Amino acid sequence: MSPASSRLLEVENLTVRFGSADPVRHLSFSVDRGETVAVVGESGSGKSLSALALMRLLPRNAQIPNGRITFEGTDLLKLSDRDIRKVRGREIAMIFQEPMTSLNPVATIGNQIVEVLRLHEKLSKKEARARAIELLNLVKIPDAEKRVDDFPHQLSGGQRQRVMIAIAVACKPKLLIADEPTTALDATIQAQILELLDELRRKLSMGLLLITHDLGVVSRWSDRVVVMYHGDKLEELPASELFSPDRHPYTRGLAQASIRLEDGVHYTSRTLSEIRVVKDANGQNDYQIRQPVPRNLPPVANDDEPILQVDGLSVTYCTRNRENRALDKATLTLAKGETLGIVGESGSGKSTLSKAIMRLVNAESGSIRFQGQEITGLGPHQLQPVRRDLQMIFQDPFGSLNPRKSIRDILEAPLIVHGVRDAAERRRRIDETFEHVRLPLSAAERYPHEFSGGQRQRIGIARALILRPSLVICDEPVSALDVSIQAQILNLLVDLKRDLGLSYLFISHDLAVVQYISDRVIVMKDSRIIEESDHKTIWHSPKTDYTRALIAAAAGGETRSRALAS
Amino acid sequence: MSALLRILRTLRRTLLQAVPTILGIIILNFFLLQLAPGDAADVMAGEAGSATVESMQALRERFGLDNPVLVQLVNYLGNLAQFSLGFSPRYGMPVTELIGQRLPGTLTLMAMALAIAILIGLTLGSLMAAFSGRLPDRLLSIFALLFYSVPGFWIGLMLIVLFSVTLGWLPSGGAGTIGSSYTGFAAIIDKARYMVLPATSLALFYVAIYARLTRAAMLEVKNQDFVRTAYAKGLSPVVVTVKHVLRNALIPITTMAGMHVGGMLGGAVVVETVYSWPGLGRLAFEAVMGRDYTVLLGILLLSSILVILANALVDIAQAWLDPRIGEQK
Amino acid sequence: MTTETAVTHAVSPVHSRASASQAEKPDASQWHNIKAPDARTTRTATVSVPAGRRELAAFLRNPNALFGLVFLSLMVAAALIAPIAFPGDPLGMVGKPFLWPGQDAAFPLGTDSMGRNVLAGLFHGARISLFVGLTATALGLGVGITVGSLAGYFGGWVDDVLVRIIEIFQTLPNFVLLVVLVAIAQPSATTVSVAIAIVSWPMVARLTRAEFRAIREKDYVVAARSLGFHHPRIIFKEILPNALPPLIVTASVMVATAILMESALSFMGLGDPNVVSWGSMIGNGRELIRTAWYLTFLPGLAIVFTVLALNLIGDGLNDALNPRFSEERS
Repeated sequence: MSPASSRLLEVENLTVRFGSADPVRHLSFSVDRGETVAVVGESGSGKSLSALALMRLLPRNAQIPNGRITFEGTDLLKLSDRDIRKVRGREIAMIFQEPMTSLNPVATIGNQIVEVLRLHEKLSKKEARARAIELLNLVKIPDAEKRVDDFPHQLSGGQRQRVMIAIAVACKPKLLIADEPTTALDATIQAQILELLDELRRKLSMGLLLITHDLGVVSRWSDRVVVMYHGDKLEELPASELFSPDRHPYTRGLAQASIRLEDGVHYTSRTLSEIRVVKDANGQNDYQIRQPVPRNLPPVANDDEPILQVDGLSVTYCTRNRENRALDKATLTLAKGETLGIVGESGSGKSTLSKAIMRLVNAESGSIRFQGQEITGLGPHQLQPVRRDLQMIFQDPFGSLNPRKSIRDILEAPLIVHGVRDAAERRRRIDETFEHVRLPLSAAERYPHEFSGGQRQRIGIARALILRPSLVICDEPVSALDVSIQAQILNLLVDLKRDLGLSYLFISHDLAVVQYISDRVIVMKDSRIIEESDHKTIWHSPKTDYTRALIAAAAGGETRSRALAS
Repeated sequence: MSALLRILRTLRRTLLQAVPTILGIIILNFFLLQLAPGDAADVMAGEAGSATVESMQALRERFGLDNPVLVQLVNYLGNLAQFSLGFSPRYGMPVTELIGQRLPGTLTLMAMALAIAILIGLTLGSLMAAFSGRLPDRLLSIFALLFYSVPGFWIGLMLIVLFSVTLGWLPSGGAGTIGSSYTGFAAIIDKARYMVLPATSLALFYVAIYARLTRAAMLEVKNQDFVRTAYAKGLSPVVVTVKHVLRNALIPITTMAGMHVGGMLGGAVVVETVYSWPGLGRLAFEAVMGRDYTVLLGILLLSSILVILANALVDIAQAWLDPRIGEQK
Repeated sequence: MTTETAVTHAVSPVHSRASASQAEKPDASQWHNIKAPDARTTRTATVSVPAGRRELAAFLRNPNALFGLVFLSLMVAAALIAPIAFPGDPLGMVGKPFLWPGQDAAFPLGTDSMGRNVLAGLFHGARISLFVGLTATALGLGVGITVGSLAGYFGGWVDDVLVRIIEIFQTLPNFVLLVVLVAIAQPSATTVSVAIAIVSWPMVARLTRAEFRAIREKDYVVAARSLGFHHPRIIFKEILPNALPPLIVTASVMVATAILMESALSFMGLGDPNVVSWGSMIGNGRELIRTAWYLTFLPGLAIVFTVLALNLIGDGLNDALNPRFSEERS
C-alpha cells in the first residue's frame, strides 16, 4: 500500500447505472500526485462516463448505485451539491473532446477564464483579468493581451483547446481530467496539445487522468494504463508494457490491430490482426485474436495506360462575397491496380480533390482522364456510364446510409438506375456483393440503424461495389471507426482489391493507415499537392518540412524517430 | 468598438435586403388593388343612393380611376414616392393621414401585448425548462397549449363577460372615458384600465408561444457542451442558467419576436374590433365593410413596412447578443 | 448568417424548433458525453425506425396525444353525421328564441336570437371548420413543399428567386393579407380555404427548404449523386422521406391555425354567409353578450377543444418523430 500522502484519487468499485444497464461496472483504480494515468478503451467502454462520474457530472438519469471516489481523503460521492461545486474547477478540473463546442459562443474567452477565477479565488475584476492574460500566455496563445477579448469563434480548434486548458488550470487543480483532448484535432496540433498538458502537469505538479482510445498517445504520455472494454476494467499495467506480448488478450489485440508508423507494416507483407469478442458458455467474454493469412497480390502493372490521370485540376468555391480556392492545380496519375494514398490535415483540399474527380463539384480548370476518357466536360447523361466504373466510399458510416431505406433498397437502387431490369439478376448481384463484403444475406431486409458502425461501413462498401467499378475513391473510410473495426475494414479493402482487381484512391489524415494501405503517397497542404513519392521513400526521406512535421507528430516526437530509422 | 461595427454592418445588410422585398410588396399591393371588384366610386354612389352615370364618371375622373392600368401603376408609384398612399373618398382625407391617426393606438396596444407576452412567456418557459418532465412542467405545458389554442376574439369576449359584465371592474370597450377631464396620473390610469383587457386578449397566444419556445430553446442549450464546461468550473445551477443558458437561448427567441410582429398586427385587427379600440385593425375592418380598398391596401403596405422595421430591430438585437453575427469574414 | 438562422428559426412557431436545430448541427449527439461513433449507434437506433412502427407506438403511448386523437375523431364524426342528425338548414328558425341550455330538452344547448338550434349549428359548424382546415392545409403543404424543396435542393439562382418570393409573403402580415384577399375575392368556403393557403404556404416552404439544405449535404445524398441518380429520384426517394417528420408535425399545427383563421374571419363577418360556422355564431352572439353569453361561449368552446386536440396531436407527433426532448419529458 502506498503512503496516504502520495495517493491523490482512489476509485473503488464504481458502478454507473442508466435504467437497467450498467455501462460501467465495479471499476477501481487510483491516481497518485503528479502521475499520469490513462484510461483506454474503444467506444462504449465506459471510459468517458467514468470520468464524468468523478466530477459528479453524469446526466440526471444516471445513478451511481455503489462505489467510492476518495479524493484527498474525502468521498466525493458523499459531498453535498454545494461542496462538490467547491471541488469542481478548483481541486479537480476537466477538459473535453470537442473544443469547438465546449466554450460559450457568446462570451469572450477572457471572461470565461475570469469567471472560474472569481468563483474560486475571490479576485477583483482587474486582478482576474491580469491572471487570465497570464494563463493565456501559459498555454501559449500568442498575443494574449489582445486575444483575451476574442470570442471563441475567432480562434482555431487548437487554440480553443488551449483556452479550455487555461480555464482548467486557472485555479491550480490537483487533478486534471482530459477526456479525449486531442481526438478532434489535426495530428500536428494533437502533439502540441499533449506536450502542453504534460508540461503543465510538471509545472503545477498535478495528477493527470487521460481518457483516450489512442494507444500511441497512451504509450507516450502516461505512466500507467487502465484498459476498459464494455464497462469492465480488463487490466492495469505500466505504459511501457503496453506493447509487450504477455498482456490480456484484448490489450494485445488492440495493440496488434493499431497500426503504428514506426512499425512500417504494409498490406503486401502482412495482414492486420482482428479481435473477436465472443460470449462463452458462462456468459463471460472470450477474447480471440485472429490474424488472417497473408494474400498474394499481383504487382501493379506500370506499363498500361493509367486508369486515372488528373492534370492541373483547380476548384474554387464561390460564396456570396468571396472566393475560396479549395484545390489548386492538382496533378496526379493512378495506375491500374494501384492504391494511391492522399494525406493531409483538415482544410488541405483532399476531400475537394475526391469530389472533383467524382464530378460532384465542378472544376474551374484542368482535366480528368478516366480510363482514357476526358470526363471534365461530360453532361449528366454522358457521365452515367463513367459513374458505373468510378465509385466512392464515405467516412461517416452513420450519415452515408439513408435511414429510411432497407439495405436491399439501398443496394438495388443503383442497379435500377443503371438499367439492370431483371429482378432476378439484381438479386443475384446483391447476394454476390454481400458475400464480397462478408455480410450475412439476412442483412438485406434490415435497416441501417440495426447495424454497428463497422457493419454499416461494409454496407457502404457494398453500395460502392454493386456496379462493379474499377476505381474506388475511399474518403477517410476508417477514421470514424474503432481500432479493432478499422483493422477488419482495411483487411477487407485489401481482399477486395485482389478479388475484384480494384484501384484505390485512399484519402486519410492518418499517416499510419495510409502507410499501410498505399503503394504511392501524395501529401496535400493548403489546397496543393506538395509531395509525392512511393510508400517507402516518403516515410524514410521526406522532401518537405511539412511532411517531416507530420511524420514526427504521428510517430509521437523524437523518441520514436529512432524506431523509424531501424 | 467591434460590437457597434457589427451592429452597423448587420443593419446595412438588413436594409439592403429589404429593398427588393418592399418593391415586391408594392407591386403585389397594386395588383391586388386592381383585382378588387368595383371601385370607390361604386361604393360612394351606392351609399349616397342617388347615382347617375354622369356623377359616377365625374367621381372616377376626379380620383384617376379611369386611366389604363400601367398609368395607374405609375401614378401609384409616383404617389408612394411622395409618401402618399392615395385618397380615401369615403373618409374624405388622404390615406396616410387616416393611418397616421390610427397607428399610435395600435402600436401602444401591440407594445403592451408584446411586453406582457415576452415577460410572462420567458418566465414560464424558464420554469418549464427547469422542471422539465416533472409536474410543474407538465401542468404549465398544458396551460401553454390551451392558450395556444384559444382564439383571441373569443377570449376577448369572455374577459368582457367576466370583468365588465359580471364583476364590473373594467370597461368593455373604447380607449378612454369619453368626456372625462382626467389629467396627469389619473389620465394614465384611465388609459391603462381601457387597455388591460385588449392587451391581455392579444398577448395570451404569444405568452403560450414564448413559453414553449423558451422551454425548447433552453433545453436545447442545456444539452450543449459549453454548459457542461460551466458545471465543471463549479458554477451553481442558477448561475449556469442565467449566465450561460439564457443568453444563448435568447438568440432564437428574439428571432421569433420579430417574426411575430406581423402576426400580432393580424391579431390586433380582430381584438380591436372586439373592444372598439381605435387603431389600424378597426380601420381595416371598417375599410373592408365599406369596400374602401385604397385604405385597406394602404394598411397592408404600411403594416408590411412595420414588419420590416421590426425585423431590422431584431437583427440589431441579435448582432448585440451573438458575436458571430455581422463578422466580416 | 442572420438570414440562415432566421430561416431555420422561422419555420414554425414552436413545434419544429427541435428538428430545425437538429438539422443545423447534425453531429450533436444526444448523449452528450459520448461522441465516439459506435456509442452513438445505440442512441440513433431508437431514433429512426423506417417502418414508423416505433413512432406510432410512442405516439399512442402519449395520453395527451391520444386525447387529442379521440376528440378530433369525435369532431370528424359530428361533421359527418350533421346532415343526418340535424337535417334541414341550420340557419333556419326551429324554436323559441333565447332558450338557455337545458331549458328545453328538444334544444339541449338552447336557441339563439333567431330561434336557431345551437347544437345543430355546432354540428354543421364542424363541417366548415374541418373542411377549411383540411383544404387550406393540403393546398398550403402542396405549394410550400414544392417551392421549398426546389429552393433547398437546387440552391443558386432558383433559391435566390424563391427565397425573395417567400420573404415577400412572410413580410405581409398574415391576417391582414387574409382579410384583403377574402374581401377582394368575395367570401365562400373555397375562397377562404385558398386565401388561408396563400398566407400559410411560406412557412412550409421555409421549413422544407431548411430541411432540404441540411439533408442535401448528407453523405447518402452525395452517394446517390455519385451513383448517377437523377434529380427526381434523389428528391423523392432520398431527401423527402427524411424531411417529412417535421412537415407532418407542421401539418397538424396548420390545420389548427387554419381553423382559428377561418373562425376569426367568420367572426368579423368575412366568412361564407351561406353556411353556419363557429366563428359566425360567436359574431352573431356578440351583441347579446350581456344577456345570453352562452351564445358566444359554446361555439368558442368547440373551437378551443378542436384546436387544442390538433395541437396535442402535433405535440405528440413531434415527440414521437423527433425524440430529442422526449428524454426530458419522460
